[in-house]
Amino acid sequence: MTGSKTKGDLRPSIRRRSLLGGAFGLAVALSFGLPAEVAHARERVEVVCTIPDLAHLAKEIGGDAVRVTALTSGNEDFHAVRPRPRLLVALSRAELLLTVGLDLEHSWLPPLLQSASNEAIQPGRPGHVDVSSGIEALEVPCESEARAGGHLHMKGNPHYNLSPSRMRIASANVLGGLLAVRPESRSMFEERHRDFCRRLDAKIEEWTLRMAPARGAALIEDHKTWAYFADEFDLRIVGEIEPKPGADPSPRQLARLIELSVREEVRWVVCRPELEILARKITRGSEARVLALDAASRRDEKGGYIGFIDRIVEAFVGSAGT
Amino acid sequence: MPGRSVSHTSPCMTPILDRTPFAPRPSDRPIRLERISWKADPMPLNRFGYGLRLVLAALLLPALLGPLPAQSDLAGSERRSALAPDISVAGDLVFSWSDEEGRAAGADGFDLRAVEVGLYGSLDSRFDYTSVIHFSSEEVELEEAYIDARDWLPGRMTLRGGRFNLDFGKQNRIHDHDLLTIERPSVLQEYLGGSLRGTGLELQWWSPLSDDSVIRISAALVEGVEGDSHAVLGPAAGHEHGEDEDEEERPVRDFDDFSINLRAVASIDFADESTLQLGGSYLLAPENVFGLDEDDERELDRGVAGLDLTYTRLDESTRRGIFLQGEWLIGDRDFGELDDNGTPGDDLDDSFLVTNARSQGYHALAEWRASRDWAFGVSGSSYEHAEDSDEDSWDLGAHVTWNASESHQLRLGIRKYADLAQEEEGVETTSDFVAVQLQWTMVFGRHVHGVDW
Repeated sequence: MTGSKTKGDLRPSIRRRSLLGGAFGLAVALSFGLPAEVAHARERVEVVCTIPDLAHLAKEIGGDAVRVTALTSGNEDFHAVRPRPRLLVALSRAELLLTVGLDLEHSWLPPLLQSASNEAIQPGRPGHVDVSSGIEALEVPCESEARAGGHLHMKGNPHYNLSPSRMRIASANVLGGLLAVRPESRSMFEERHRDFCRRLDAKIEEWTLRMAPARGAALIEDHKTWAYFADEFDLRIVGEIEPKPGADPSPRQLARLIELSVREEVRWVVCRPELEILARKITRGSEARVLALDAASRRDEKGGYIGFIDRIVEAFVGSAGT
Repeated sequence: MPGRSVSHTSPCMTPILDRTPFAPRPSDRPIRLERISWKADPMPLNRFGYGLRLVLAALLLPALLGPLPAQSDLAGSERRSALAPDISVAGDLVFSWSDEEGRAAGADGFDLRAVEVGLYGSLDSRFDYTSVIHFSSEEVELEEAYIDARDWLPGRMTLRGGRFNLDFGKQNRIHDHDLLTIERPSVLQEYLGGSLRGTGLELQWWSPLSDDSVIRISAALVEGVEGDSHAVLGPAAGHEHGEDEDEEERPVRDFDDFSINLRAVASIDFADESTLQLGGSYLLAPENVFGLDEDDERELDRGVAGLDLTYTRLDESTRRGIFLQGEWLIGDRDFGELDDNGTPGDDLDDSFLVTNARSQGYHALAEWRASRDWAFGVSGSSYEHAEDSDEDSWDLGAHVTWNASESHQLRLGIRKYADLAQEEEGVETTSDFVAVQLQWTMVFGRHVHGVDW
């Protein structure tokens, strides 16, 4: 459509001011008026965790006094979580945020936190707890490695959730976070924490015994994930499927991994379920077994965190006949 | 009837837009962007002028205000380290091949489309800063430099100040190397000049509608709105950065000359994998120009409205899923022309004509993410020309993307262009051709994307 008009007819500046005023008015009105904003029970502590493992710890310690939301379901690539509305809503309502730290969430959590506009859980606030505090990180790249690039995590491997003894330290940080936001529930939180640690210590003893025959056994992992588990149970990691983070191996690299698998008498090739077919190629000609495992528990993990490690240990022990 | 070539071929009609900073530069080259009213030069470093002063003012403002007492909770060393920016570098290399008509349209050879350096960080717990500097073979351009003030205004409002891509539609804030297609959709090139950018303030607000849905509204008041494109192919391609341009005379800027951009978007999650977004955007970008003489100031309206719909379904464990997106745009803009009524030497019978043109167009994209490494997509645009809705163009293409690693991506695309408008020495022609493009994108360092509103 093409037509003519006289300039004086439209009075664009008035229209523009009306538009601007209308938009701001609507925003202000909605700020105070939306029903979703009104009622959110604050009797229970709103805890948001970046991975389900932390959510299980929070439930163990907080009991009925907490309402826990895990932002991820446990089988994602934690480096590339899609920031989406439900995550934003959860963060906006949280009183306590528990993060894995060590840069695991660095690509997606900061923009969500920025948009959530929840002062209580911003870094530096008592409601923002980096659960890695006090845990000595493994695989911290040295300066030359860092310069060579390819490392996702300059602060070290963030997958300490695969080490039950380190998660014992993490549970103390979770307790600290809960006490900071609900000091009046101190005795209850501390009692539940002691109980969890007692049960965890007993299970660590049991898992160590079950894994003892496999001490010194070699494994290949898909991605730098299993260092803490290997450290906990004295296993050897001899290679990674991914030559660089996120990259599939070339045929030549695959051939090297097959050769490595035979030479090092690799007992397990551990990978995410979606890489199982690739992992099976590496086990050709060797006794290695493929373990397709997620590196974190599920939201609905039976038995919570302890149940998750039970499942992992059972997978290792069962597959290798140890 | 304003035709795109009339203003360049008629000796008695002077294109009034040539007298504004938004106007195309005089050049022997084919400048297809002349039809796009807010397509302007990106600012070379030595010509930041008023825009840069505003950016610097925006950057300095938070520092002058200083941290509010409630936020000074970070230890000194933490705050110092927080000031150190995260740095990312992105490179975007495109190789294009086409038949004869396509080569005439510029589809031939390599284009180092961009090397982009991004700096991101926090001044403190309430202020974040972002700056993006674009290096190409022809210029260095400050693409974006802004401060986000959060947890500072009531409710869930945030304030952005500086120079930034406007919150218009789904793709305007996405830089070229992050697009899902090699070229920005043609309809966006035609109506927005690529991506819209301005200097000023933007207020954003969002609220939950339920546990799984949110609404967000933004309103921006900006000056110097310009469309910026690094397209190799499409209606905004061929824009040569860094050419000398004489400062055009124009009336002194006043409040009425500022632009307003509005956007509202609702996002709904269906389970963990699926999200549906419905958005609407409106930009009103008037410009004050001289009419018959310097005592005769006129205001020309330029507006674009858009509706967008996006559906994402992605299994985050396998990275398999689908992505569907469509945008529909309506352009509405004034054109001013000086008519000497057939007597070039006699100013007394001159008249200043303002005409209005409306046009519309859309684009659609469907992509199948087959794995974390591979994606296959089809996309197309169809649009009436911004200055003359009697003419239209379309294109349709397919692409395959291979994420070779977290840092490298290769994309192969093929696209059929129909009636793509080009201008050579003031004469407009259209061409039909098929182009094949290969894009290699490299991203290093921390490259953080915000919430996908």
